[in-house]
Amino acid sequence: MSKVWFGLLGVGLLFGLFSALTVVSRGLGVYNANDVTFWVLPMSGYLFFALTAAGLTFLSSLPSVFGMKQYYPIAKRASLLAGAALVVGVMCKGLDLGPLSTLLNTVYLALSPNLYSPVWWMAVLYGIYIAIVALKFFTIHKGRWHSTGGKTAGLLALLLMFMSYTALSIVFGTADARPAFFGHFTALYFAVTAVTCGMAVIVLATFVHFAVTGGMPKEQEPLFNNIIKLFTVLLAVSLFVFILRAVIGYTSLQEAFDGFRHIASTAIYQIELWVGLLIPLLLMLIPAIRASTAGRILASAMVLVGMFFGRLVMLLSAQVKPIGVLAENRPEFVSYFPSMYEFGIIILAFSLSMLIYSIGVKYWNLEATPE
Amino acid sequence: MARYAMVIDLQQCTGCGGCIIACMNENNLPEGVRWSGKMTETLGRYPFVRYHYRPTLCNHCENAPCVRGCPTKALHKAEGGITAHDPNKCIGCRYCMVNCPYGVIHYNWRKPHAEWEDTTAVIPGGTSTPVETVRRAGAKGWPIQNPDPDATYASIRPTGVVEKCTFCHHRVVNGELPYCVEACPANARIFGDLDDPRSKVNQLLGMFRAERLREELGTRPRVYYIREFCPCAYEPGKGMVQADVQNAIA
Repeated sequence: MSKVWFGLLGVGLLFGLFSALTVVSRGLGVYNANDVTFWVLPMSGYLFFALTAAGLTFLSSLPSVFGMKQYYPIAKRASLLAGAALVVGVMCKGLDLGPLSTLLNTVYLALSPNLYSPVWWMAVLYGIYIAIVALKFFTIHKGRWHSTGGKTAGLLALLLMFMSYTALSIVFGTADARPAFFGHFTALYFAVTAVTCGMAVIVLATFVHFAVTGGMPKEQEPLFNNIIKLFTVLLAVSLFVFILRAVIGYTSLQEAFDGFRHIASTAIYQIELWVGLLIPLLLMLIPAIRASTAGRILASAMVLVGMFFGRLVMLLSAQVKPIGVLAENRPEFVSYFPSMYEFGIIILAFSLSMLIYSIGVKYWNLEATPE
Repeated sequence: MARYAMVIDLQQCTGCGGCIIACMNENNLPEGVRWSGKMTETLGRYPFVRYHYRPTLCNHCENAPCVRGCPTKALHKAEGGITAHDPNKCIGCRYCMVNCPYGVIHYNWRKPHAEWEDTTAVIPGGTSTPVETVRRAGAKGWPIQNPDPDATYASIRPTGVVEKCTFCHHRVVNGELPYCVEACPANARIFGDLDDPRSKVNQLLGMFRAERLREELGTRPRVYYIREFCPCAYEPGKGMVQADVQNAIA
């Protein structure tokens, strides 16, 4: 089983690396992007993993920062997953920047900083965030849960998570030319869905682990029952925020929201709604399914798939309707379908994150709790 | 300090597209990229139809959202308020394309003028190839390369960075007009300094009501549009025609 799993990851990594190397050497022309739809699937990968990392960081902080000691059993696993998601998210963003010559220009983030730019703050804060998350996992792994360094790392990780998430929200919130990014409502949507995605990852990783290793320890049943209840509540809150976004989009008189209304009639929006929210919520509301390992795995996996499509919905809503001179000689709405290389980047992202996690499961004793 | 602006007289403009072609040549634009463009609109119902042709370019906004959002200051304000771009600092994040409400910033998805690197003879069995043509012309990138923009920008921008209109910065610093202004056969484009009370642009802005694109966003564009494309006249009257009167009575 382990060999098959790592073999599958290897195949994904190889195809993903091929795609990544092609992008770095040839540039973004291999994506199905253009001057109208220019933030596409790799960017949605960045949003998905970065926000999921934020949610996971928050969840891993529950015991160490907020004093909810019953959540210690998931803290180390969440911490590692946060780091993996963060690294992978930044990789997706890097592969959305362009060829090697452009990537080398990122040195000017330091040499020529623009403190008015939310993208600059996002880049800097996520860079620091990665380092702090790594430090946090290191201190946990060394058993220094309650040392000064451990507490500091935990608190800093939470702080950097919040600052990075804020910068990311401002990137979209201050795009006055693109109202269909939903302005500052984006911050609420990102916050809720980030925690939901983080919880979904925890549920999925934990119960797959239990399924593979022979079952959940009985002493942890109350904890995970609470986690599942919390997961259900988060799904309901996410559904509310989703509906709120739909209300905003459908009732706005601004022409820019025609893009959202167009996207809302496509499959990816329906996937976000049904696969990401409604069906998992219904599954979690049925007691027999909610109590089963298979049901929990299925629901959490569906949430992650749906939320990934939701990131693409968020991006395309403000792009499918060309603005200004770009509207000339173009249809009212442009269409987009990812290229092979874009799929390759996403496959690389998922493969790499799962590889990091699998290595953690194998070597780093993710069930560890403070003594 | 100069504050450069452009006035476009839509009554003078004939919609010939000469500005688009001129800009392509002057700035070595690759296929599919246009710094100077147009927006057209046909409104009304036959037989009462009107057509609008509005030439476009970078508005060089005073409060440029692309400059504010650029993380490395690759997009910055140069002399005269011109929004300039440094491709050597550009990280290709495309946030400027998010922020620009006019759609005038373009990203180089592929290598510009890549077709001129082809080593295959255009005519089968022939002896001339695109590469050889460029070499014989002594040019870089494409045969009719204009090296002048190298003075303030890059004559050909590389893959993976954005590019945009610079008001022909390389010409303006030498006291010349932007090339689209120079090339306009109808003198519909007028370029000058808003801080010079006697400049032509101030004269026109004083004479005519000017419109700027999407100024409600607070961008403060520097491209002003005056007058209308078609000075149509209509038969004087009070409005309701006789047939409508009869219908109303009935």
